[in-house]
Amino acid sequence: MLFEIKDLQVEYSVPGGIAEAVNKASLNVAEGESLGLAGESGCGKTTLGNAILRILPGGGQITGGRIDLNGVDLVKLREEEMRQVRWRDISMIFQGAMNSFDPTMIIENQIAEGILIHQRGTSKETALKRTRELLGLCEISPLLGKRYPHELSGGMKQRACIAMALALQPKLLIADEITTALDVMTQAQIFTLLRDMRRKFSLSMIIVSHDLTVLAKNCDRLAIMYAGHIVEVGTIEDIFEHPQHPYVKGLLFCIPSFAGDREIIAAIKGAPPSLLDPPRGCPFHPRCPISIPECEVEVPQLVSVNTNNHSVACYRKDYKGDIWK
Amino acid sequence: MESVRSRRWLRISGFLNFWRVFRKNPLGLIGVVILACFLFIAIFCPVLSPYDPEATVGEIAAPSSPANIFGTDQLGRDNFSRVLYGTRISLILGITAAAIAVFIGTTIGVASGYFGKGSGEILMRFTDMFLVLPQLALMIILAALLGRSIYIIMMVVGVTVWPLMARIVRSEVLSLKQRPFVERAVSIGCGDFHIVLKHILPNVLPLITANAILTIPWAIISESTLSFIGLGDPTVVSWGSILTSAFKNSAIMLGLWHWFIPPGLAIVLLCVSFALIGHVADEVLNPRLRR
Repeated sequence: MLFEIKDLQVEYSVPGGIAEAVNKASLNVAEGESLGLAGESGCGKTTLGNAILRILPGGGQITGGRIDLNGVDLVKLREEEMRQVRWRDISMIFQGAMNSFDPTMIIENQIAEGILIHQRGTSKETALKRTRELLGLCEISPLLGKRYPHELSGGMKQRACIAMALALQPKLLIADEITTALDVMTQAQIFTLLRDMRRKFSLSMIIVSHDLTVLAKNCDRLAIMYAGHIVEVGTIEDIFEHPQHPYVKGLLFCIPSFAGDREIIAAIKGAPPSLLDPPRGCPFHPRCPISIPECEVEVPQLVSVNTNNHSVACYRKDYKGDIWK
Repeated sequence: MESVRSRRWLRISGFLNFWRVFRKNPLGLIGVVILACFLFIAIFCPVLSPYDPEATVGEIAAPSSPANIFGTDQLGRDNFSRVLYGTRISLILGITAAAIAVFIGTTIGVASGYFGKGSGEILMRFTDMFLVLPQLALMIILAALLGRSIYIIMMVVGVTVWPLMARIVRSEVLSLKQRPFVERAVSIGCGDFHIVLKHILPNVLPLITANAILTIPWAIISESTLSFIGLGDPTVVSWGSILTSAFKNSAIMLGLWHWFIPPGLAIVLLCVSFALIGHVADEVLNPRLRR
């Protein structure tokens, strides 16, 4: 197993108290595997991604659990050691890649920056040469490296971001909402590029998105988050064909079908709970049509439901009826 | 080699872009023209001035005459030459004092903004302490304590005007620190020092530049004030010291307007030119202010 998160807890101390942004999350990613992380806004997807690199914003803190990369627990590393891990072992493409370049620096210098920081003794020329190779690999003209970020289009910047993330051939790449601001065509191109890179470098990926269709196309497995909890993990097939958790069933029910008849899309009633004051027990029980008293007492654990490692955190996972009609 | 050349070109073209926008503003152009005149005078004053500014060349407190168009002062020195030489001192002093203020202000502003809680707060309270002290009183005390040399006056002015700079820089750094490109730098594995130097400073530079230009007139006026109060350097010719001697020798009562109007006007003009340039530069460098 390349990468494993076990019972990870992340909290934000905010003026209103302490928000549990990620609650006992466990995940694993094998070498060359692509894991999708889905959920609605504010469910803790981005926080989980940032926690892996330990770059949580002010007030955020990992309060428990472990993050194992090839047997090394990243949570326990000293800051200086963690700085070495960043980019060399785990790199990231950010939400809003449009703004993730320094406006005062030309692109190639920013990509070379990572190489120069981690490979001491590399000459600037070597780093720039490697940068141009990377840009070429990501299908943008190496000449564009001489441009300032504002001179590039969104899609180009996103490619440059990917080039930057691949600079040190990391083992794991976290892609956080990378195509949210791009049009569908560019989205498809970016993901094709990512898929090629993944094959080429046998890269493991965690793709964070709220767009289930994007994830279905580009991931091997999918983890669904709700209010800081991971509620269901499984292969794309398992999740889409045999969803077990009522929330996941609801989510899938919300995807309109273009081919079928006109039908009304059912919304999940209510709103996600406040993370400052989460409900006792299963976080979904206040909105769940089939909740039972047990749901309000204790948080359900992820339990395997088949041999494929498809697991669900729900007491009513065996309920067969139609929940959302 | 090629990349070096192109980078230099980018820098030059950056300045050309700045100038292209800057010159569209008539106020900025007026400022530049006035400043250019003063710079010309400051550089060539030994050639331009008819007399040695320290030499007695005529009668005491003489009125305007073809030989001394601004008259002479209480020691019979030529006022015209003294005003020309005063340009040099005022410019050097203004720029040096502003540089000191910018250096201290930027260092403290960036440090407190970037490192945020704890040490940053302590630095800001320190800045606030300086900010609430009446600047003129502080300047008088420091100048009186440290002595009456022009270098000490530069120091005194620089040391008293930095807090504002620190505040401005800090607020900008606080907002920059939250921007995605800083997050990117952190996640790449950049150290704090590297981030401050390579990513934060270049981004606050426009703000620093505009404010530095605006600090210069303040420094010049401060020197004149200190000279006028009698805390200036008696061995150098500055506009402030000419004004002082005019005032002390009742030039106003005697109607010797050409003794005190030229240095006063020079101070106003130079300050206005810097203020104009500064405001227009601020507008150019910060597009949000453009109309």
